[in-house]
Amino acid sequence: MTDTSAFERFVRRYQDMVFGTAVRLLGDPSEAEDVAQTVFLRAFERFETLRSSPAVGGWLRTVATNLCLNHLKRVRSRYRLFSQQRPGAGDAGPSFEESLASPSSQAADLERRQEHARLERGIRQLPDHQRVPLVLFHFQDRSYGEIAAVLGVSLAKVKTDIHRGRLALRRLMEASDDAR
Amino acid sequence: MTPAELESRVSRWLDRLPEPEAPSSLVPRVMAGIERMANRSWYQRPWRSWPMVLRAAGAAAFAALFWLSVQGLAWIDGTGVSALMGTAHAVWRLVIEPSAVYLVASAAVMGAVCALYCAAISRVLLERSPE
Repeated sequence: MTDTSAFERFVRRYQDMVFGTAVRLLGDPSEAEDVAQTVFLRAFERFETLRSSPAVGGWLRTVATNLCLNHLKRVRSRYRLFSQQRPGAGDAGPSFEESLASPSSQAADLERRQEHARLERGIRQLPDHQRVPLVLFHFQDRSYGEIAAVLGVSLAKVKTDIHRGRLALRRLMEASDDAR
Repeated sequence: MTPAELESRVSRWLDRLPEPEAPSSLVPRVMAGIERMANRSWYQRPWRSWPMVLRAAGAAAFAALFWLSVQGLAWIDGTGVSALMGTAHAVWRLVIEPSAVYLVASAAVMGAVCALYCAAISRVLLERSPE
């Protein structure tokens, strides 16, 4: 019998990592929450093994990544065929909170948090084909070759998409620097 | 800025990013899901979590079904299968073989048209994403 209070502690410990992996790959917090829930339900089924395993973090990240990639391949590609294109990185203006804040009057801590929020938003606004390889490269330390194999695309496409994603992020960050 | 410089610059930004915080609703959702899982009937659960008796009964039923399938195939072998093969051969000689060239050519043309159409759809709808 699995101890549910121990499992709840387990979920609280790893929830940010699992959700963070999912939200960066999917770019959508509500879809990421669904995926994170599925990851933890699968973890519950083998909790007795996982709780004592030193590789539990890697297992959770791998399952989250695979579920996200499946989700993108099966669900979103069908949906996007009939939906509007997403706005590109840098198209969205500053949020209401940011427009109220005057950078000169903010503490460094607040400024750093705003920069993080901008970056996270920039990542989420990248199109899937740029965001997914960029996240796998920068946050999961996968090589270009591994990413190409996982996504089933050519090495050249992976490199091009990651480069374009980086350019979009740089434009976003420079645009916000210029706006100060 | 060279691609290598861009990579290291973006890496510096992204390395500083903290893990995004999970929403506060995640833990309650997971625990509610676990409660639902625990309340499922035995037949809604994965086979490996069935009670031992039911697991044994399920395995026996599967083995019996397999044995019956093998026996059934052995029974029709020599009579049913040979008649089926004869019919299939006649259909091939009379209908498919004379028009095989046209069928293959039509399939190739239709395949090419479909590929072009899919490429155009992908280009217009999926690849046209803003940088």
